[in-house]
Order: sequence, then structure tokens, then C-alpha cells
Amino acid sequence: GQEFHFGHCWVQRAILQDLWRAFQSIRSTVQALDNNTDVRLLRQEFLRNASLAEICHLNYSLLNFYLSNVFIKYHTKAEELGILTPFTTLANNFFAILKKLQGCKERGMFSLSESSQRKFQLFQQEFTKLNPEVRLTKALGEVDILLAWMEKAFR
Amino acid sequence: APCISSGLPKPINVTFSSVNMKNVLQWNSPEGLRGTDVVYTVQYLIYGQKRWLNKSECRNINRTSCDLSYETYDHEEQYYGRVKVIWGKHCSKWAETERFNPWLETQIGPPVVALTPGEKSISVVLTAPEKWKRNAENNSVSMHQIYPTLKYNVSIHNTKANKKWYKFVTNHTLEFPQLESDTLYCISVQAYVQGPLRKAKASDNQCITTLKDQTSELKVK
Repeated sequence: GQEFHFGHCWVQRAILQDLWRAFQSIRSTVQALDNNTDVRLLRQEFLRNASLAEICHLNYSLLNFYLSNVFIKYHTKAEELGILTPFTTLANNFFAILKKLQGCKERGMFSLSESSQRKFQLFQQEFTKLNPEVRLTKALGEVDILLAWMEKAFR
Repeated sequence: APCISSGLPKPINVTFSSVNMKNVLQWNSPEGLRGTDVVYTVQYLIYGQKRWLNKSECRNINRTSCDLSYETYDHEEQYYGRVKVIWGKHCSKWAETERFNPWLETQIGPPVVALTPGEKSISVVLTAPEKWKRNAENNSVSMHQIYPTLKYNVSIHNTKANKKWYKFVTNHTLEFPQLESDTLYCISVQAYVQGPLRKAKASDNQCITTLKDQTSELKVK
């Protein structure tokens, strides 16, 4: 099967296909709940002039963040909204990718970069400014941006 | 003077229709006001920015669509569109689209298809569709640049034997060998991108006849 590359680390492409399918089935529901249209967490300038290594590292940090700060806390809400199945698919596939990348990181296959760390901190600051439920909904509604950034890491 | 926001019904089915990043806001007039001389006003918002922006060419219009391609040209941004009804001094509330992501939602148009017949083969050259251009002088941006994993699904139909088959290709040239000579074949091509499900438009059928078999011609003489 084809794979997509994070730096020198690769992940099965089929996972990305499942992620897109899962997100497309929750997109309308989740984005419709986000009335703070004047705030975008995953901002375009994060990727502007970013090297592939930076994109990889930023994706890695964001995946980690989403799993420990968004998916964990949104499970009950996802059930209420009737989107638990695709939501769980998203979470499980994010976890599979993260596990893979953690292995690569431990083997030094992609480096941390200061500038992507700074961008990640900007994301975190913006995230914490919002009230708890709003930020979870907004972060989940921006998974298409994160998946597009992961596609960019695909070579 | 600003209109009075009264109980006028809002426009319905407000959506973006997008092909090769030509992004058109479209809507239906509200049930109760069909046939009356209402007009519409459009605004758009770049997701993450504070202010709704006017589209001057779509202020007080009576058609039910507005081309926002210029305003939504950056396909890495996301957008909202909204429209309201104006009737005399009164106006409806705004009716909004869902969040629009051009990169994710645009329909990929058909490639340009050039066919060259041989005796028992047809060569096909494909040119990826182009992104909508802000003005004619601008350099073209191929949809292939935006979607590096752009592929083609080429179908070929032998009209004599009424047989059809497909080829999935990544590069833009291919050949169909082992065809029948002096036979009409029709070819249609659809571009597609791996990843999220995207609509794609197939090219119209293009038909061409393979050349006559020269060897059998010589025998006849």
C-alpha cells in the first residue's frame, strides 16, 4: 500500500483516507456549532515558508495535542451529537499515526524545530483563550485544516 | 438608508458552487416571495477574521447568484457567504452558508484531451484543468500544482464491439495499444485526487477512428 512521509518516517496512506471520510461525516454538525467565526486556531501562516521538517514537527505536536486535549474531552458531546462512530474513527487513527511517529521521533528520524515549537505555542495560546466547550468544538471543526497539512507532508 | 429588519423570510439553500476554484454563491428565493420584485445583498467573511465584507457588484441584485471567486481566491483560507432579501424599506435576516473550504470542496473539472490515432493504437495527451484566474493576463495555475496527487481515470469505448474499459494513470500521456484498425473509439477522462471525496466532472466523449490497416490495403491492390 502507499504511504505518506513525515520527514523520514512514513505512515500508511489508507489511514488518511479513513480520516477524511470520518471527518467529512461530522464536519457540518461540528462546524455549525462554532459561532466564533472570527477565530481560526490552525492559521495559514503557520505553514508559510515552513520546511518539510517543520511541517512534520508541527503536525506531530498538533496530533499529540488533539489526542490529549480534544478527543479525550469531547467523547460525551460526540455521543450527544450522534457522531460517536466517525469521531472514534478519527481518534483511533490519530492515535495510530501518533504511535508511529513517536517511534520515529525516538529514533531521531525527524527533528524538533524551534520555529514550529513557537507556532505550536501560538496555537495553544489561542486555544486557551476560548471557553472550554467552544475551543473543543472549534478544534474539532478545524481537523480538515490539520488533515490538509498532513497531506502536504505526503510526498 | 439601512433597511428595517422585519419578518421577511430569509433566502434558502445558500451554498457555494465551485469548479476549479471558481466559487459562486447561490441561493433560492424564499417560498413566500417568489415572483415579487425583491432584491438581494451579499456579504462574505474570511474564517478567522472579524468583519463581514461587502461585494459591491452584488448589492441590491435580483439574480440569485453572486460570483465570489475573486474574494475567495486564496484556496487555503476558508469562507462564509451570506445573503439577505430586501423589499422596499424592509429586509430579512441574513442567511448564511456553512463554512466553505475551497481546497476541500471544489469540483475538479475535466482535463483537456488530445487524441492521435494510429493503425492499432490511440495516443492520448492530457492537460490538467486550470484554476480559475483573477484576470486573463495572470499566469495559469494548474490544478495539478494544487493537488500533486491528481490522477486520471480514462475510459475508452469500442463503438463497433460495444466494449468499454478503463485505465488509471498519473502522468499526462498514455497510449491504448492493440486496438482494431478502422474502428471508431470514444474516450472520456475524469480527473480525481486521493484523500477526501471530491466531485469531479468527466470530459465529454471524444471519438476518433483508428487508421486503416495498410497491409491489408496493399494486398487488395
